[in-house]
Amino acid sequence: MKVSDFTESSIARQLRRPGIWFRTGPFCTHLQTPIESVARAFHALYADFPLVENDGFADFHVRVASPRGFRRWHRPQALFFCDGERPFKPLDRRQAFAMFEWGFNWCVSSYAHQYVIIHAAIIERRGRAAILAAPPGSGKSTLTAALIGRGWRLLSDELTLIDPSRGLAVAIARPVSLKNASIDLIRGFTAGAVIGPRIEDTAKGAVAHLKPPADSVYRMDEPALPYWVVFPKFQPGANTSLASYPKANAFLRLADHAFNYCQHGVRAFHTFAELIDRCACYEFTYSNLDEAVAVFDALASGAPAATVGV
Amino acid sequence: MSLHREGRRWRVLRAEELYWRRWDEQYVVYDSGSGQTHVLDPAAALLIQLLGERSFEAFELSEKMASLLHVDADAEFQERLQQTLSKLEELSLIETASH
Amino acid sequence: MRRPDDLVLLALTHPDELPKLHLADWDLLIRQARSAGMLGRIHAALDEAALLDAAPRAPRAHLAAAAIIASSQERVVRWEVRCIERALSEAGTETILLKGAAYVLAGFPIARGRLQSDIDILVPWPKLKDVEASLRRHGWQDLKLEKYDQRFYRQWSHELPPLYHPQRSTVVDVHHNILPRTGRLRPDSRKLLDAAQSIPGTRFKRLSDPDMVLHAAAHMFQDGDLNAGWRELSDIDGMVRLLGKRVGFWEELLQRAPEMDLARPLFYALRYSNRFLYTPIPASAASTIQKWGPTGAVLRVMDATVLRALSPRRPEKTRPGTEAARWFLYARSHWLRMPPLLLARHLTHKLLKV
Repeated sequence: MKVSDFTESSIARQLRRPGIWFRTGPFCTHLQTPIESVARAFHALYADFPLVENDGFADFHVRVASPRGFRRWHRPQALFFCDGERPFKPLDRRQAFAMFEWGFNWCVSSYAHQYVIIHAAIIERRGRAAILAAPPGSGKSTLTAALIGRGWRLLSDELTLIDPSRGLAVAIARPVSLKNASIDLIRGFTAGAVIGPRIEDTAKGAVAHLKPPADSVYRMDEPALPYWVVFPKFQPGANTSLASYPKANAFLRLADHAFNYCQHGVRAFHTFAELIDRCACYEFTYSNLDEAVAVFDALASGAPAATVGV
Repeated sequence: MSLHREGRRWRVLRAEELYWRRWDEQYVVYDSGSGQTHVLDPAAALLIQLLGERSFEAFELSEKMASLLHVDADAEFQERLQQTLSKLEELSLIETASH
Repeated sequence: MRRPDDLVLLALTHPDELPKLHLADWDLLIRQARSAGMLGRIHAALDEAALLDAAPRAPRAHLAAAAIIASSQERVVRWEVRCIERALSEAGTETILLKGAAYVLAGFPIARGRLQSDIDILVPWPKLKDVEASLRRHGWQDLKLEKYDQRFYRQWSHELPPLYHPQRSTVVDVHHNILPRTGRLRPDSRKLLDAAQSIPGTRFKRLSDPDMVLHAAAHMFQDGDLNAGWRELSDIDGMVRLLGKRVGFWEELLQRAPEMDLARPLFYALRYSNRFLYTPIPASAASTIQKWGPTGAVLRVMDATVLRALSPRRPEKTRPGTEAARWFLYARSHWLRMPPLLLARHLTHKLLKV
């Protein structure tokens, strides 16, 4: 059964009590929330995700709740709990769904250390995956959103999870978070894009979430082997440029984006070494989404880097 | 600074804790003792390889390096070698040896 | 005395029972163990019993993740000890590694899967200034504590304020005694240093076998931190099982405890370790240790308090009494440590911060 097999009000009711068990890639999450805006956004954006029977075990027990006391009604707040831990300060209740998404990322990056976890987007085409690593504000999510709207499969927009025993990346396929101008940009760029409510005044400005393509969700149990490591940067007015990047530098730069490189120790070194061995590494600058997509499509079709894009 | 007045002997004391990979002209080394990862140029990598085999006194090291790299062991070379040694010591990749 | 109905306890005492657990029990076990800092230890226990594959796939992933964290922390401890050794080589002082760092360097089985934090070392009181100076010369700085806490540490407690190394984000606590000067009980740290044992592979030493057990007991029942209850008890259990194999250990322990004025903490440590974790205690030793404990009402209150404090931590479902129990133990620790007037000032100050 999928989320969309239920009506929004049925989902909202289940979320209130006893909660909903659903799967995103390797993780089974038990979500509970009485907050309507979260239920509504969940119903819309997680529509294609499978619900699972409560077999007794969940990887994460997540609650997005209202506080007791007067902040329940006066400038109402939302609280995020994972397994009873509260990692964030309360936020305005209008930001509750964004809090859920950030909190979910927190759960994975705090607990899922069986994987090497890199703060990067990862997408796949024709059996090969591209890792997009960049600091916040570089347009990584916008680029990811554009590419998955043009045929690339989404594994994740924030968390690249590598199984160190096989070198394969696993998919989570959760909604892509968009900020500020990107929200309308992607709405215009991708036909049929389903975008959740625009949430204002967060620490990052305005935030909205793009529903992942159904195909990406249906294939979330398919891992992918990375073949490209790209460091993208959106630069207004810049020419589209894909430039080879020295592998030793790419190693360190990518490791810099990892959450748990140090924790994995020599295993992380070997995992990254094999990754960098296999992957073509690039720096990518762009200002135009159509041109950017064309560059990636050329990569996917096997065109050598020298003839791509520049 | 002239190296031959130094008198210190240098060595890599934990060669078995270092893991290496090479891409193009650069080396990436993981130090499983400190947990640090470094990118080294060929000269620095060569230094570590030599110092992993036995200890060297600084001046002796500069002569050996110069001959392997086919350059003159002039003042500039010795200066850069000294800087590299200091940096590698700071990273705990090499240490002063007693013999 | 009742034993806690607790999955973490089951995991520690009967790891072979774990494969029979329902998934719902595994769900609870993972949360409770994580909360108690014991997830890595449970992974180690299952691994040693060759039972990891018998755990269901989903919980096994969480155990594996905890093991990865624990083993990286062990590496950090080893390296940090090397760095401290290098810094202190010029100070030329005898140095004893305490607690987690000692377990790791000495290769104790309880080190496996253990979460480590600060490195604790013991140095002679006359050498304290030299040690602090050497550490600062090698890059350690003051951890940012509030002014009041800094003053408390220097004046009243048994430690320098913790020293922090910004390059590695590590902390070293330098002790000159294992209990504060102002405490009611005053074990002599010179005796600890004289009895210290060498550790292969490092210049640093560890406490003697009996002193290791006594220090762990003192730490659990007189220091303020009782959140680590299961972990400390499990450490004591593991150490007694390991060190108790040596002929002469129990005689030394029974002689040393009153000598160091730690008979009462040892009584408590062994009482609960034996009751909950089945730590073996020879009958002859048990009858001596029994005399060191309180009786009647005091003992019953302590039993109930410890039982409560070791109760599983499910923050959303905490029984109302548990926080009070923990608080009582915390307050008792401080009462033992400081004159009453100072206690009121310090605890109130701490309360305001919450």
